Amino acid sequence: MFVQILINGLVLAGGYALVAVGLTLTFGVMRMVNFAEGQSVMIGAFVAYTCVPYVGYVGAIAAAMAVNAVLGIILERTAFRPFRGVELNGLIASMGMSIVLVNVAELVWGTTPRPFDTLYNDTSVTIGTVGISVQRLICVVVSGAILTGLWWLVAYTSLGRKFRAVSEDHETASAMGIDVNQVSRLALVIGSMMAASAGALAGPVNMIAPDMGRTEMLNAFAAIILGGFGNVNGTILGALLIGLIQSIAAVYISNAYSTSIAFALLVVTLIFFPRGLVPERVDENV
Amino acid sequence: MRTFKTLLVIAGAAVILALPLSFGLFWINMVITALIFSLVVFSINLLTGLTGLLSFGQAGFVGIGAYTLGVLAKQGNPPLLAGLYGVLLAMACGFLLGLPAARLKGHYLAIGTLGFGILIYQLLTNSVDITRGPMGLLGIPTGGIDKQTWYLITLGVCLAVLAALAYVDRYSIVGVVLKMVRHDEIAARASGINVFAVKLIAFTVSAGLAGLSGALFAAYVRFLTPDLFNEQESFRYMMMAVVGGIGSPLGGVIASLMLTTIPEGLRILGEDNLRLLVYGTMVLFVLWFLPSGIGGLLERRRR
Amino acid sequence: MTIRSIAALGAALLFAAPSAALAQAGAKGTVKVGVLLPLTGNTAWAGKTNRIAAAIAAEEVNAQDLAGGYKIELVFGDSQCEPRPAHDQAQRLISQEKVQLLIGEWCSSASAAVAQVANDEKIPLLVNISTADQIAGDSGPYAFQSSMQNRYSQQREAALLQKDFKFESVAIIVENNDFGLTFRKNMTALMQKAGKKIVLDVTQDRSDTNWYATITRIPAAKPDLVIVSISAGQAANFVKQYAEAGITTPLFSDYPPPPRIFEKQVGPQAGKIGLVRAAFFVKSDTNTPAQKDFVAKLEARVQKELSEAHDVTYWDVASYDAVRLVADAIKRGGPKAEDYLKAMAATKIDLVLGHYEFDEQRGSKPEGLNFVFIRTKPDATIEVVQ
Repeated sequence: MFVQILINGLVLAGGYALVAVGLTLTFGVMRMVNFAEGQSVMIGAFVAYTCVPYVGYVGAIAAAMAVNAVLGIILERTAFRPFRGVELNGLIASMGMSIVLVNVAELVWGTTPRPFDTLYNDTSVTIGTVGISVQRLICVVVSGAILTGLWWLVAYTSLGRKFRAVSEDHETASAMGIDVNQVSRLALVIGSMMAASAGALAGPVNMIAPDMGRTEMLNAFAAIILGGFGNVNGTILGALLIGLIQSIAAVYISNAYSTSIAFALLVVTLIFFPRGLVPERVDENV
Repeated sequence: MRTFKTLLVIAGAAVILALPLSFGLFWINMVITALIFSLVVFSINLLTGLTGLLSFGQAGFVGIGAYTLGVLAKQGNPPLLAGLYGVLLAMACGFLLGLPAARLKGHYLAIGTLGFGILIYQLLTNSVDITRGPMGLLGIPTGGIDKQTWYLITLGVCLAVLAALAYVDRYSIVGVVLKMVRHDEIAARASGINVFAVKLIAFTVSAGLAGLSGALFAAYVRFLTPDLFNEQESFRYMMMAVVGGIGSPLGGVIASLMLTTIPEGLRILGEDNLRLLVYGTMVLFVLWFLPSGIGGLLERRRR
Repeated sequence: MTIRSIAALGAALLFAAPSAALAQAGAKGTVKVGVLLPLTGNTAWAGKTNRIAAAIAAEEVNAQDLAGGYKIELVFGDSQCEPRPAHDQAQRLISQEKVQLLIGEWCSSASAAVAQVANDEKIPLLVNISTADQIAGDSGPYAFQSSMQNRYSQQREAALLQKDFKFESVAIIVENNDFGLTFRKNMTALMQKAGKKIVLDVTQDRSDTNWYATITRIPAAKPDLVIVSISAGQAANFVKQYAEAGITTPLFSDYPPPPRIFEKQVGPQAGKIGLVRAAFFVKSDTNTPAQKDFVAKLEARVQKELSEAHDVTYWDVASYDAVRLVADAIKRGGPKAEDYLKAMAATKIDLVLGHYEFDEQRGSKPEGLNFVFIRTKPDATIEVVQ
């Protein structure tokens, strides 16, 4: 039982973390929340689903990330750059984009939920009494790898330093010659690619439909706040906590309130740590 | 001459306000629902526009107001009293939520309140014994009032709230305090204002307004299901408030009228996705060209 | 193409549809019937073919004069399976389109909304797809419900289960929508009455697509039989995850409508798990001639209009039957509300799904309606068991 709970928790956490780091990067750099992130997950899943017969599963994940990189640029141009400084408007604009994306997907792929089967769905390993499909294990491993890659990118590369510089102080970073526009665009592109991989990984575990991605996004919101808005380490930690606790609660408490449980955890944490577990370094306007 | 001009403005306003009475019943219906939504938009304006607090859980308060009226009225209590309880319960919840939430800032607050909204939605869904859950509450005993009267009732409530908000904003010391808290919290604290108390009051009153909207909605449509109060609804209210221009109640009314009626008008494009696609794009366009919302446009005209 | 020519084309199409039908019109005039269906959103995949099924019925009514000299004109409203759009669309159809009668909706919460409007505006409504108990009885005299209500389905399911399976303990797993929660209440009572032990009782949030946590609890509880009530896309999701977990406990799914939905949506995995279901309608050799005829008509039409191969669903049949029921009531009572309602109450008619009659609560009597048990064989084909 314990192993199942752990793996289920990690599958959930991996999905939440991939969505959440995208949100966090965008927020850190632009101070804006991307409400279309859930729909980016959905588009990623559909693109991967469409490509899988031609290029195989790994190729499909890459294709989904490539398409979503373009989507990231479109989002940056339509819903973020025009609204720098008026963050609330950017947030609503991304909501507008999410309506557009859902309806485009309904027009292109229809509304019938579809099975997104890979070679690994049908093979399963049995641990204890319950089987776990290899696809689930792939989810855990690949999302872990992608997240490690991202963490390395942010912590050790010059691009990562730019991200952190812009996150900490927009104006100083700009004064020091960092192209804030370029950094913002990259944040959205990377965030969007993360969402694509989340969709391509979780798609085969569940089914795919144009309305997917919403629950993931809500849980990802809880995760980023739990971890402390704007930093990648805290976000991954938050996602891990929420995934595991939901998985435990689903078995021992109730399955009818799973999203509420994530948020209850969040509220309790916020009472003790008003700026999340790993607080961002933003000064108050003294 | 001055009085003549004022009279003219009043007459013009009266004509515009009376205009919906001549509409077909369907469009009156849309206008009534839009007016009811605009109460929620006011509640967001009060929070965000005046105190800078961001709430994504307004649908939760709307749901509390609506279900209190629905459940109590179905048990045989007079609807007016049930509605009053609804507003009071929403205020109580707003106060309780405010206790932890008023200490939070910006996006922490937004997501925290979002969580509250989701919790209320899931409670309404799962407490089948009280709310009948997703089976829905039907036949709330507030029938027998025609659409025209409902229009006048909702219009009256909206105008009263608008007037109260304008009064608080412009002429009372409370408005000054609220704006000070928004503008510079530390300076406000330095000048002896109990910032926490102010935020708590703003939270409570705003929850009450949302609850009032819910109670009106329940009394008007006479059926309830939890789906009417999920997080998507909270997002929609926020969209109305921003398109209307945060801090501009009148803009909020216009935005909620637009965002409620335009998707209906777009039905001439056919009963399919195209209509919603156009709607989403339209929201983007409004934000591009009117960065401070419809309220900003009104403000520019005034100058 | 200029905007004007597009508008002209649109207008031409708008006028062409009714006037084409006018050529064969009945002598007593036209009755406008509003049909509320999800045409966008996550259940639109079903609504789109239901719309075609209803349109076929209307064409037949008009061509064969089945409404006693009246002609029927359907006006569709996209109510998205959500209560607020359903409420507003019912209002629109009544006050803008001036419909005299209503049919719909698909989701029970949306149907409840429509039922409220119908009773307030005194427009007769036929709820043809939603199966929540007592929608008609709870909302008022203007609503009828032709779909089989949950409690009847569950009585039959419990009886069939006890005949078909030997089991002492059950796991009941539902999602928290109206369908699942009613099912849980009814089925728990029935199972307790039959002396069965309920070893696992789970309600999962309907927006939660991850069933794995729930599924992992099944082996530990050791039930002889797993009974689930999960609908729409989630149902397929559950079956897929159940198959992947390699659990061998027999599974009974109370998700009657589209027989091949699991096979279509889940793929071959659905065949791996001895799945048994109850259904109102299955395309099979045992179909009546009327059913075979309808299947042929609808599949050809869907192929033509949506260019996709379609397996007829119960919802399609229910949409077709609803229009025929309405026509039949008009034939006997005319379109005026009071007379029409009296005629509807006296309905006795055999249609595609079976024999329709209404009880005092204006719900359909379950006896005459089709109800079968189907099993998914390992090669993912379907066999009719009972």
